Amino acid sequence: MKIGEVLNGYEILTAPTNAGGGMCQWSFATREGKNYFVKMFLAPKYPLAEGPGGEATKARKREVCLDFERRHLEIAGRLDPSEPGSGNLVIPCDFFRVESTYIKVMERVDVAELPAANRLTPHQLTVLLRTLAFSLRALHGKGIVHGDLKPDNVLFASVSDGIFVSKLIDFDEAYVVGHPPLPQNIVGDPVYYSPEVLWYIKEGDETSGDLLTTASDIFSLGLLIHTLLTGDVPGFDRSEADYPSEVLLTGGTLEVRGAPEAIQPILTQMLQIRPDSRPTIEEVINMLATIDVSQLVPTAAPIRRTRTAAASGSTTRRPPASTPTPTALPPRPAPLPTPTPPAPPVLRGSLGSRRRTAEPDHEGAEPTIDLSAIPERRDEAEATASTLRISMGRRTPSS
Amino acid sequence: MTDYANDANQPAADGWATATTASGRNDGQFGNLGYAVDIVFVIDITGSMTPVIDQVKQGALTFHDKLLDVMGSKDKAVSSLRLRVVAYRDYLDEPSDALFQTPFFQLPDDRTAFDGFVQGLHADGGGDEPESGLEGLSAGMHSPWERGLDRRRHVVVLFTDASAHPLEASAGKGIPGYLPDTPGSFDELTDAWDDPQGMVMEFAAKRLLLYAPDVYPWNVISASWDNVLHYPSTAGRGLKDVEFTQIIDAIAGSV
Repeated sequence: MKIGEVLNGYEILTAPTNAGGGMCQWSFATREGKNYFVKMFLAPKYPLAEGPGGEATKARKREVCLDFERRHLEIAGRLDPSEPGSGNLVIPCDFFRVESTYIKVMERVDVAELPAANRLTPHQLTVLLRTLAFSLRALHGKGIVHGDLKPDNVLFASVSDGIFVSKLIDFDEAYVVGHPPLPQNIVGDPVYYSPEVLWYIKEGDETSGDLLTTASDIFSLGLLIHTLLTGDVPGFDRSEADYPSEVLLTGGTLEVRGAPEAIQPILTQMLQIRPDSRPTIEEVINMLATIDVSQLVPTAAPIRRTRTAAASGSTTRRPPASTPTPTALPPRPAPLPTPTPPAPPVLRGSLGSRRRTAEPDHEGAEPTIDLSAIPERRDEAEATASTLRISMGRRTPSS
Repeated sequence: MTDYANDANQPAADGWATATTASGRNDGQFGNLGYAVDIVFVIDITGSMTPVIDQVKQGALTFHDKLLDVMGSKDKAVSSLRLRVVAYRDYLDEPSDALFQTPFFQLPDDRTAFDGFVQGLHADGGGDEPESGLEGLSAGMHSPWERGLDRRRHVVVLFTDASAHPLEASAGKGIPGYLPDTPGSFDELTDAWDDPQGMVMEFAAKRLLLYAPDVYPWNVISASWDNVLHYPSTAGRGLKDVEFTQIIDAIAGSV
């Protein structure tokens, strides 16, 4: 994927990047005057007849690819963007393969710069949370677990003066309730894992996939909401654990008192260790509707606590092996003065990593529209994902 | 429409209690997530790499600290971080200095030994391209990867400014010092990387980051192997702008 290249009619506009992309590279693209987000998967790569590798390996890889296709089409087939509450799901509109590479296309979201939570009005915050919850309800209603709820997978779009809606993206890790990927293939962000996901990975027990249900998303959503409001996940003893779910599995507790008081009871229920003790998304929506929204706005700006290398505990838990020695040293050692490398970029911001920017000043005048303005329905003309099919794409070299 | 949502919690309710009981542990007795990250730097140290070798070395020397910084900014932790180096030139030019490799160094404990080896790397020799890049890559792939802990990431990062000899050019020719586990063909090397059964590379753990020109075999690897990120350079014009921040971000983003 290169700038100027045309893949199945989508002209690549920006240099492909892996930033925040995990198992893919992505670019922005255009086709017939519309803007798109194009995701190129790094795995699996479909083994072509003329490609490298032995036949036995190719046959095994084809099985992996067919499973990949089936899973993505199963999820896409259950989603209908024209259904109420689905309008803020950013659903794939095209899925094809160019040579060995699978490519998925979504409409591009014009991401808005969201003010810090303490600068939003109760109404603005309510709309943000409800649109996010509606999207999750649309998924759960179809028996789909998102499986990778985290700040990077929620974008914000401005729909009218002063009003932002949450856009839920990235269904690559989604699965049907009780049928998650194999433990070794679970990805996502461990910060937002539910206890049962962490347990599933640690135990490596493929037969316990039925533990992973929509309740797992509820736990992650609780962490996500806390992060939106405070800039960080709930507090816990970081000398005992690295992640929220880990602290629960090791007997500790999560502290939600940093969040606005009005929402603390909801978060407490969402963050229960036992899946059956958590509310459903419908119950979360109902609870959100009953809270005193005037108490929903944080009193302080979100604070992003950053783990330092020294505090991470990294690489220190296992006793080190005896110091190895190289099998041989290269000849002619002649170290030269070395230039100072550029400092790594410091990522800032909370939700919506596609555009991490400084938070703007915002006086947050009270908007005049009400919750009925929340878009729940997308134009029928855009409702293409439910008929998504894998197809063979064409590559047109850049001029 | 089937209402999945109302029943969605039920399997977990029974399953959680059953599973945790069967495991012999109660809630609160499961321990931490162990995450192992093994990284192999495969570095072309032929003469044409002179303009960039110091940049590569400096990146390797500061890699540990910077990775932990980025991981920290993402609130992620690693239980075990090991680095090793494979440095290669050209078996067909001079077999005696064609390939060097270290064991894995556990960072930060073995930092002095790791730094010592990296500081000693010097770009020289190799003759004209192509070089023994596929042998170097094979040596990296055949690393003694961590197979324990809960999660693993096995990363090969290869730096070269040149194309590579076909493996058939050297394999089975009795070249002194030629690594015996080197596959005899590109197809066999592909199988070693891509086989879902993962005898050499663990299927879900592997990543390959290529800083290499857009020529054979790197372009074929980029197009057809799983989990490869290719940052192409122009063959014959040296390897420029080796951005370790890209490497670090790619690794941190995949953990």
